[in-house]
This record gives sequence, structure tokens and C-alpha cells, in this order.
Amino acid sequence: MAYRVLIVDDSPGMRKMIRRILTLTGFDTTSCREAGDGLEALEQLAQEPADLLLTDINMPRMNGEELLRRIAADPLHRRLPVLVISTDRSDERLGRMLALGARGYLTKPFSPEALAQALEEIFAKPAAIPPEFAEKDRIFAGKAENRP
Amino acid sequence: MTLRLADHSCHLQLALEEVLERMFYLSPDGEAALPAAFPEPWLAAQLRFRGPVAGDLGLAVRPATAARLANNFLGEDCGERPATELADILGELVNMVAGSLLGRGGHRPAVELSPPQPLPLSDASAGSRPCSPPHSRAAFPTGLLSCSHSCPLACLSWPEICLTHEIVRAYAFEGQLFLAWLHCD
Repeated sequence: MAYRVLIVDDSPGMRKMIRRILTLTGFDTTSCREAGDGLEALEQLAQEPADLLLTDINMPRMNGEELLRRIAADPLHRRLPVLVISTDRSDERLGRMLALGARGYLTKPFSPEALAQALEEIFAKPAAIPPEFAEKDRIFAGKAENRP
Repeated sequence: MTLRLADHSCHLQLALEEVLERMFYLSPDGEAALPAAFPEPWLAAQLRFRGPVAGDLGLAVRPATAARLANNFLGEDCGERPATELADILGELVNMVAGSLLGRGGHRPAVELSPPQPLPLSDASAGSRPCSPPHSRAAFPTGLLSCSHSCPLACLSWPEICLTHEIVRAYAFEGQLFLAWLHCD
């Protein structure tokens, strides 16, 4: 299967490097788009959905945590697999990002092998919707079922 | 938080080694002597960290080293690169070193990192003029020895860094010199 990937990082160099690793590791992509912050990522998602989102946390305008919160609250995107790639190694941040639905958390610096393994793990396990958003998901699903 | 010089110095070296080996494919030669003067401006980046521990961390390299870093990081040797690209990648290096450094020592507190500020580094005593009006730590609540990007003069002065930072070190990686400085409030 080929994936539509969206890479979100405020460093153009880091985005380029991640894109290169995806190519080197043979990750099959139909498209690989880039965004410089969370707001730009949401704009891109509104234009065209993605199958995988790789995001940094510390970014201007909208950081990765707020981006995940918006994605988790959006019925259209909440099942989008997200891999967080950040320098932040704190247990507190890791816990918050996973609670918001991140499927993986990779700390910088990372090796190409570590990124490949993280992606493999993400697509090997089913999505876990955070409880507070799962309730909304059920409500949304119910409305969808009642639609004519 | 009390700054334990020996620990921080050791962690700084380990953090730099981790990042440069893993993402820039440079192996360490070891600690090196600090340069006495800067015949050419070096490229520097510095950031501020804030949390249970607060302070600032900076790195400086020669322009040729910055180009090698970019080539290794991006996996392509494309001749001369734009200054913005070199600054971006040096900033990412500082960002990753800070993350690695602050995640060491058995605890992993939540720490906020400011965006790295890319600046030229010069030996103020060897010809560069101070900014006008002179910039001081007091003028910058964040503690960064920086000025606006419109400032045409070199503002990150090596003598001032040496005066205001507890840890100032030079490390060599495959013949490339890296200057690193760290201050904890």
C-alpha cells in the first residue's frame, strides 16, 4: 500500500531529512507534503487527507500538541496515524501526546532504522482513540448511521 | 537547580556526540583547545531552555563545518548552500543537543526550548564593533545574547560568552571544531 504522508516541522532541513529517510527505507508514498507548523498542517489536511502524519512538537503559531488535540477532536481526521518526532524527552510530554492519540513517539536524534521501525509498529497496531474523543466518535457514528 | 559543572560538562559532550554521530555521521576525536581568536566569523546558534532547570546553550562552527554538517544531514553534497539553510541546520543541531542534554541524568523533566537563534560569532576584541546601542543580558529578558536580525553587526561575542557561561568547551569531530557553551540560571 502507498501512503499519503504529511511531514510537519518548522525546520525545512529536518523535513527534507525525514523525507529522504522515508525514501531510503523504502516507505511507499503516493505523496509527501510538508507543513511548517500545526496551522499549516490543518490547512493541508483540509485540502487533502493524509494516511500518515509525522509531526514535531515545538513549533511557532501552533505546536504539535495543539495540532494533535485538533486532529483528535475532528471526526474526519481522528483516525489519522500520527508519529511524533521531537527533541522533548520528558515523560510528561510523552504521556500527553500518547493520550491525545499519537501512535508513536520518536525522539531526536534518531537513526533511519528507528524511524522505519516506528512506522512499521504504527501500521501493525490498530488505532487507539483517546476515551474523551471516543465518546464523540460514537456520537458522530450514531449520527452518520441515522443519516438517510 | 544547582549547576554541577562536572556533570553538565560530561553530559554536554555526550549529548553532542550522540547527535553528531547519529544524525550527522561525524565521529568524535575528543575535547580540543579553545581558539584564541577568530580570523573569520563563525556561525553560531543559541537557545534558551526553561523548566525545572533554566539557562542557555549555544554552539558555533566554522562556515566550512556548517556546510559539511548540512551535506551529511541532508545526504547530498550540493556545493554552496544558502546561509538560511546552514543556519536552519545548525539551529536543529543545537535543538537536538539541548533535548539530549536535558534528558540526561536520570530525570526527564518537561523543559520548554526557545527557537534557536542563528547568529554570527566573532571575537569582539579582534575587530568587530559592539552593537549600538550595546546589547546586554539585562536588555534581553530571555537571556539570549542576541539582537534583531536587522542588526548588521556581529552581536554574539566570544569574550562575552566566556564571561557569562560556566561551561565553555571545544570538541573535535573528524577534524571539525565545535564550540559549545552552557549556562544555567
